[in-house]
This record gives sequence, C-alpha cells and structure tokens, in this order.
Amino acid sequence: MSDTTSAWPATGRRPSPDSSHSVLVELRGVEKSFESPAGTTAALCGVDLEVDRGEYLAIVGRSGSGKSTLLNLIAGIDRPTSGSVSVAGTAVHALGEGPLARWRGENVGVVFQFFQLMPTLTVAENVMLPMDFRGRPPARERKRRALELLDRVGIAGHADKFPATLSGGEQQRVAIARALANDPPLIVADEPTGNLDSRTAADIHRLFEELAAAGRTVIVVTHERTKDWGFSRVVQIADGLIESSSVEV
Amino acid sequence: MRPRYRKALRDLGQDRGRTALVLLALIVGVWGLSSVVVSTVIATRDLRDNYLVTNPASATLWVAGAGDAVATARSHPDVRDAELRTLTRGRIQVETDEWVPLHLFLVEDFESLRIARFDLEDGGWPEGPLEIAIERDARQLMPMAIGSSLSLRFPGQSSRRELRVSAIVHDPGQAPSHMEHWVYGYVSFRSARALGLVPSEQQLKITVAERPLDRAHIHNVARDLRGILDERGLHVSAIEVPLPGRHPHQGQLEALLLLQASIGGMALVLSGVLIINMLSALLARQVREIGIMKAVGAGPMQVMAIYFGMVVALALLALAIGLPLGIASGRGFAAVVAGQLNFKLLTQSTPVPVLGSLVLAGLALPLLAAAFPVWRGTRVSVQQALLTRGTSRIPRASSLFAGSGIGPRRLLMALRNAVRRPARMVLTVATLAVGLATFLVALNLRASLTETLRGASDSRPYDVEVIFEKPVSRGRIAEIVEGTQGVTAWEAWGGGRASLVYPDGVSPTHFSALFPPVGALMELPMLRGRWGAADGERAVVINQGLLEYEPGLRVGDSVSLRMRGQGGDDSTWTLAGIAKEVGSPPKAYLLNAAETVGGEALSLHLSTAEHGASFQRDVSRRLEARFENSGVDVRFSLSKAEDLQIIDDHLDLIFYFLTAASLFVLMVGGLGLVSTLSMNVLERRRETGILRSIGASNAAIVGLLVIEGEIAGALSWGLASLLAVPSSRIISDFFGNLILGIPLDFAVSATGMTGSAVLVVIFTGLVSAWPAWRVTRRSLPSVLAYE
Repeated sequence: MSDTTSAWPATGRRPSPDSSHSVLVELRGVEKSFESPAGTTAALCGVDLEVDRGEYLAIVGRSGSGKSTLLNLIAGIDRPTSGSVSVAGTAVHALGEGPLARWRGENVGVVFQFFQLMPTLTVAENVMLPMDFRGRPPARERKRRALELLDRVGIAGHADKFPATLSGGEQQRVAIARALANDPPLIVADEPTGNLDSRTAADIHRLFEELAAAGRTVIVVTHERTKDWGFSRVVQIADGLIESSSVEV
Repeated sequence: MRPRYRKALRDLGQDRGRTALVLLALIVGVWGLSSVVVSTVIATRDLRDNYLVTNPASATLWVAGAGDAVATARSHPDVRDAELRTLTRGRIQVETDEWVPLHLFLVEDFESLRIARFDLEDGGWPEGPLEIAIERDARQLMPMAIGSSLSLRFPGQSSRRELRVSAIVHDPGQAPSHMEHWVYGYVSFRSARALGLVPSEQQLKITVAERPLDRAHIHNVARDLRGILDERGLHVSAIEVPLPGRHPHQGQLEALLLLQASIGGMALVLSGVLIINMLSALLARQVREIGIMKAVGAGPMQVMAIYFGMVVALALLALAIGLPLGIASGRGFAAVVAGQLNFKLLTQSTPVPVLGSLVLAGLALPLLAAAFPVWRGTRVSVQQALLTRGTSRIPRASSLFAGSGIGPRRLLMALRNAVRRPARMVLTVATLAVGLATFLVALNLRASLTETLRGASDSRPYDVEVIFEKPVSRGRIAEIVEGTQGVTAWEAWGGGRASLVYPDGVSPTHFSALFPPVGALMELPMLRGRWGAADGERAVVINQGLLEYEPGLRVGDSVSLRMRGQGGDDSTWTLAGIAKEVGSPPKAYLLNAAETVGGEALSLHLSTAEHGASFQRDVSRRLEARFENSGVDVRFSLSKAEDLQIIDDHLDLIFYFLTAASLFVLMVGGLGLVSTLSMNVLERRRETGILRSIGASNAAIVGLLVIEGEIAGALSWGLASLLAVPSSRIISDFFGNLILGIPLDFAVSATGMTGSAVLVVIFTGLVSAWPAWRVTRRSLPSVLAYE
C-alpha cells in the first residue's frame, strides 16, 4: 500500500507539533460505570488522556480492560459518568443526542471490527451515506467523492457491488473509505483487524499510518501489539486505568 | 435518490413476502375506506339532489272535496305555491293471475306540474283516453315497454281495463315499487273520465314561502291552513310534514352508509397493525444498522425518516392501487343503492376535498401506526445498538407456563412460543378478532332478521289476508270463501280509517282501525299491557307504529276515536296495550267492537290447508279471482309469505351491504395473521435448525408451528365471539328501530359461529403450515447460520 501514500492529501488541519493547539483529544478525570442487575461495574476509573493531531495512537489492553469504552467516549458514541471529553475544542460529553450525531458526522470517522456496512447499499452508496446524513458536499459531487475514496483504498472496481460479495479485507477498506467520507480530523477504529488475516491486517494498518501521516489523528483499539503497524504511541490500559503511555520508535 | 431512501426501499425488497402482505393489507384498507366513502358521498348527494329537483311539498293535506282548496292555499301569505294531487286506487296485473295494488295519480296537465314533479324518462305523456304512464321501478315487478298493454281493475267496475303504456316516468319522491310491491301509474283527467274513475283521495301539496327547512314553521302553516279550509267546508282529514329537504329514505341511507364507512375506516386502521408488526420486526433486526448510521453521523430524525420513508412508499403505492379500486367499487355500490331506492346517479364525480381526505387518511393512518415502533426502535443509543447480539429474549409471559407439567410437552412449547412476543400476538389476535367479529355481526344481523320474521309469522296465525275496497257483508263473504279450495278457516274483520280525537282537536294522523271478531285467532306479542278485553269492555290495542305517531299514549288511557267516512259519534275506548307488529303501518285493534259495525267486514283473514308460500299464494289468487267474479272489489290480497318477503326485502339490503363491508376488515385481519405467523417462523429459523439437529422430524417442527398458529386463531375466534354478541345486539336494535320502528329479535347465528370456527382452524392451519414447511425445506447449515 506504500504506493498509495502520496494519494492522501494533507488535511490542512495538522498544526505544528509545538503548537498549543496541537492537542485534538483531551480527557480529564473520565469515569464510566455500567449498571446491571449484578450491580455497578466500573469500566473507567479517572482517565486523563491527551492525543495530538496527526498521532497514530494504539489503545491496548486485555479483554474487559476498558479500552473499547475509552474509544467510544472519544468518538462520542458513549458518555462518561463523570469527567470531560473534549475533541477539537468541543465538549463532547455535554452535547445532546442530535448535536452529537451531527458532530460525529463532521469530526469522527468510525471503523468497526465487523465492518458494519449496510447490506442493502452498494459499496459506493455505503461511502455516500455519511455525506447524505451531513448534507455535504452537494448531492451531485458525492458519488465522485465516494469513488475517489474507494480508489484511494484500492477497491474502486467494487463500487457497485453489495458488501456481501466482498472479502473481509475489502469490506474493511470500504469501512475506512466510509470513515473518511466527511473528511474528519479524527478516525477511531475498534479492533479493525481482529477479524482479518495477518497480511490483510498489515495492509489496513498501513492505510491508517498513511492517514496519520497525512494529518489525521487515528486512534485504534487493539488487543494485539505489532511494531510493524507503525503506531506513533501506545497507551496500555488495565482495570479502567491508563497503565502506561509509550512513544513507539 | 439519496442512499438512505435507497436503503429503505431495498430493505422492503429484502423481505418481499411480508412487504407484499403489508402492502396488500393497506390496499384492502384504502380500497374498503374509499369504496364506502365514495359511495356514501355519491349516494347521499344524488339522493338529495334527485329529491330536491322534484320541488318536494313542504306539507301534504288530505282534503275532502276539491272546491277552491288550491286558490285558498295560494292566497295564504305563508304559502308559496299549492297544487292538488288526485289519486285513486286500483289493481294492476303483473303476472298471470297476479295482481298488485296500483296507486294511480290523476293529472290535469302533465306539463304544468310544479310541486312533487316527476320526470318523463321515455315515451310521451299519456294524453290519449286509454293511455297510462308508469313509474320506472315497476319494471322490477313486471315486464313493460312503451306501447305495451297493461290490465287494470278499479273498484266498482266489473270489467278489466286495458291501457297502453305511453310513458315511463321517474318519480323519486315515492317509495320504490319493488320494495313495497305496488305500482305507481299516472293518467290524464281525460283518461280518468273515460275510465269512469272516482278519486279516492285528494292531496293538497303546498310549499311554504319562507323558512322552507323549518319543520315547526311548516307545521304551523299547515295547521293554520287547515283551519281556513275547514271554515270553507273543505275538511282536512290528515296532515303530513316530512323532514324538509330530505328524501324519506335519506336518514336510513345515511345511517347505513355511516356504519359502512366506519367499517371501511376500521379496515384501514387495522391494516396499520400490520405496519406496526412489520416495522417492529424490521427495527428489531436492524438495531445494529441503526447504531452504525448514528455512529457515522445520522441524527435521530434522519434515522426515523428512513423508516417513515418506507411507510410513505408503501402508503403511496397502496393509494395508487387501492384508491382507483375504491372509487370504481364505490361508484358501483352507489349504483346498487340508487337502483334499490329508485334514484338516478347524476354524476360519477367524487369531490376533490373527499379525494384529498382519502389520500390524507391513506398516508396519515399508516404513519400514525408507524410512529410508536419507529420512535421506540430508533431511540436506541449507538452503544446499546453495538452491544446487541440478536439473542432471543424470553419475555415474562412465556414464564407463565414454566414448570407446568400439565399437557403434552409440545403443546407447552407451542404455548410459550406463542407468547414470546406478547405485543405482536396481542395486536394480531385483536386484528383478526375485530375482522371476525364484524363478519359475525353481519351474520347475527341476518339471524336476528330471520328470528324477527319467524316471530312475526307466529303472531299472525293467518295464511292469507284480503282487504276490500268497501265493507262487504259477512254473508256474501261466506258464500265466496266457503267454496274456495284450500281454505280451512276464516275470519271477517270490520274496520276503517280512524283518527284520535283530543280535547283540542282531531289528530292529523290517520290509521287503520280493525275490529277482530270475538274469538279471533290473532294475538300479537305485547310490548306493554295486554291483548284482550274483559266481557263488555271496550278495549283498544295499538301497535308500535301508531305509538310512533302518537307518543303521548299510555296504557290505561281513555282514548277517543273518530272513524272516517262512517259518520256517527266519536267512540271512547280504554287503551289495553301496545303490541309489537313487525313491518306494519300504524294500526289499532278494537276488541269487542265487531258488533258495532253490524254484519259488514273490511278485511278477511284465513287459514289454508297447507302453509307453504306457493300454496298460500295460489289460495290468495284463487280468492281474488272469485271476489272479482262476484263483483267484490279487493284492494289487495296478500299471503303471509309475500308479506314477510316485503319486510325481508327492506332489511336484506342492509345485511348484504354490511357483509360486503365486513369482508374488507376480515381480509385485513386474515392478512395480519398470515404476516405474524410467517414473521414468527422467519425469526425462529435458527431455532428450527437446532431442533432438527437434535433429532426433531420435519413433521414435528411443522406440527409445533401449526399449533402456535391455531392458538392465535383460537384466541382470535374466542375474542371475536365475545365482541360480536353485544355489538350484534346494538346493531340489530339500531337497524330494527331505524327500518321497522322496533328492535329486531336478537339471535346469534349458530351457522356463523360454527362456520367461522371451522374456517379459522383451516385458515390458521394452512397459513402456519406453509412457512413452516418452507423452513424445513432449507438445508440445516443455512438455517443454523441464520441471524
């Protein structure tokens, strides 16, 4: 995929590393607990975290450690029980349902483990869907943009096919193209390669690396940790707390 | 098209069978509603317009002697116009040996009629001496055409008259001939003179100058005019003020059509249940997709719009198909109503606001039905949606049967499965139950009508009744009747027309006062009081028809009667009771009165050797021929079967209309059941695979699912039966009062109850066996992989 690196334009949103505005994601004292018939379970117990623009961050930890919960809070998919989550200066935790959905559409691209494409939409239509919800760009330009994005992830030839006819790797590429549909500054991915073979997984991570290199912030939750995947930083989480944060070399 | 709406359409296409069922139910609902609404609008509008174009009389006064009644009326400041309508009665032959009453209007100038006009439909006005115009509805009783010859008999004339039909006319103000079993004819004064006809009554028809729709005002004007006419020696025996501007049948028609429109509306409302079930199932399956859409930026309203978009697409398609069908069948239905009530459909157009309302209803009702499931299904948070694993939930209702060791294991399993989705099951059962109940109401109405007719038949122990034009001596009647083959017993009754006399004057209502002989077999069922008189008591029993006109009468009252045309003083009677008499005009039975009219009788009541309809009719015809040959004028002769048939004809139409309307609801209910059962099978496809994998045979799986279906069917039938009984009673009371003036004798249709039970068992068996059989045809790996 290295030959596609040049295909990713700089977003123009990436300030210089020393800028006071380089922090894109900021979590302060975030706690999250879940109520269930068995009682209250604490998933996160006072997490502080900052993620800079252009970072390719991995959140790693064992099953149940709270890594997916953390990612969901950053993506505005879930809300903290207490504490604050700020992304690009927006207090995400304080947004109502409607504004939060609009915010997600403009600022976050989400990639799931099981791809989660709409089975009754074609590949191109799946990519156009976030644009449709956002109402931008103009309708006549959406198809062109979807094809461009599909071309960048290397599956433009499948644009008119339905997801079920594609392999797992191809479906995940479609999901990445969909995540990029509204040109968001932040991409979050929850175990994006957990359902893929190692070679395809490597290709997907290379894609994320290129996106980060082009200025986007990419946060990936994974239970694996492979140096080849090019993370700029790895955050280790255990029992709802950040155990360590290390810059990869 | 936007991807979100493309998704909506493709999701509908994913499950074609269920979408088709929902669409079909919506089409049936739209069809049913638009059919009854269109027919209601056309029929009520055109019946009214047909009637108003005749310039109907505000009031009719029966006057004795022509004099200057018209001039007197026209000179009254509150009267706009007046005309005298002269009638005589006769008999007209409609078949070989079959004669029916003829109401013959004698018209001075056909061209100058201004009040209660009738239209020339074919031919030319009967200006010749032996020409007649006939009201068009008579074609349902006898063959006739312009130029054909008709046989007529008139009182006091020994020979028949042959008149040539010169015209067919349409007189929308008259009760239809085919329902009343009589014919309206129209001849010129010239013909009447040539035929030697004597007018039997004269009606002074007036229209009022102001406030033509104010019935109280019309009453006042008519009463005032009666006073003036009386002063001038023109006796007014009766006044009739119909509901202003409304055809005599308008109220009945509107009530019937309103009921039908309600049933049609019910069909559309119930089709909404299918929308609820379909969307609930779809949304339950698409929870994760909803979460993903929200995750990629869809707002709650945008997600809801997708599912409402599906409903709008289905509703528009249903309107595109159902509305034209409804308009066409509504027009056809209006044509049937017009034929039955003898009015013309003036236009086929449906007003734009009505069409607009139908479109609005066709869109709004499905959207309303969809509102709750869409709101509930789309309010799920992204987090909750992503956590959904599609595991089968076990609702509390299923645990009702947990631990129960009663009954076969398979039946228990079916019972638990049947209530796994209690809301869906309740909606489905309720929908089918309402459909079944509506259908049962129509059948029970028919049963109640039959029961009412049976009761009426039992209360009239006579097979044939003959009414004479003039009193006939009992001796003469005996000579004629006793030689008639088939007659086993007879009673000659006296009688005449009478009015009640109150301290402030004579009531305008005139009615038949009959004098049964002592020992008469007649004994009507009583609503209040008693039938019979003590020795020497002058007792009167009135029927409910007379009570309608004289509502102030109470049992035990002393009432004063004045017989019309018989001279003598008013007589005083004690009101002994109020009798129930089905399909009868206002009547009073004067008991112990036979001796007061000497040896003459006005009617003959007799029993025949056999009681079949054809035997009764044969005796009736033989008798009429014998009376004719003996020079006795018969007003009409009616067998019991014919009499009951007339009542049946009045109510039968209602039965057929209600049955037709209820079929729409039944169809929607049936489609609801089909939809739910197929949905249940689809959702449990994997479970059937698990059962097969642990050794269940295909037959066992089909049997299990069929039992589930039968449980739903049995619950629906039980609920329908519970709903149908009180509803049927209300409806049969309503229509009995509306048409006959008394509630029908309520009866439950045993055939309907057992027949519907059998049909439900067969129907539910088939519609649950089919999807069950199909799922067992699928390969085990494919059903186990189903999510």
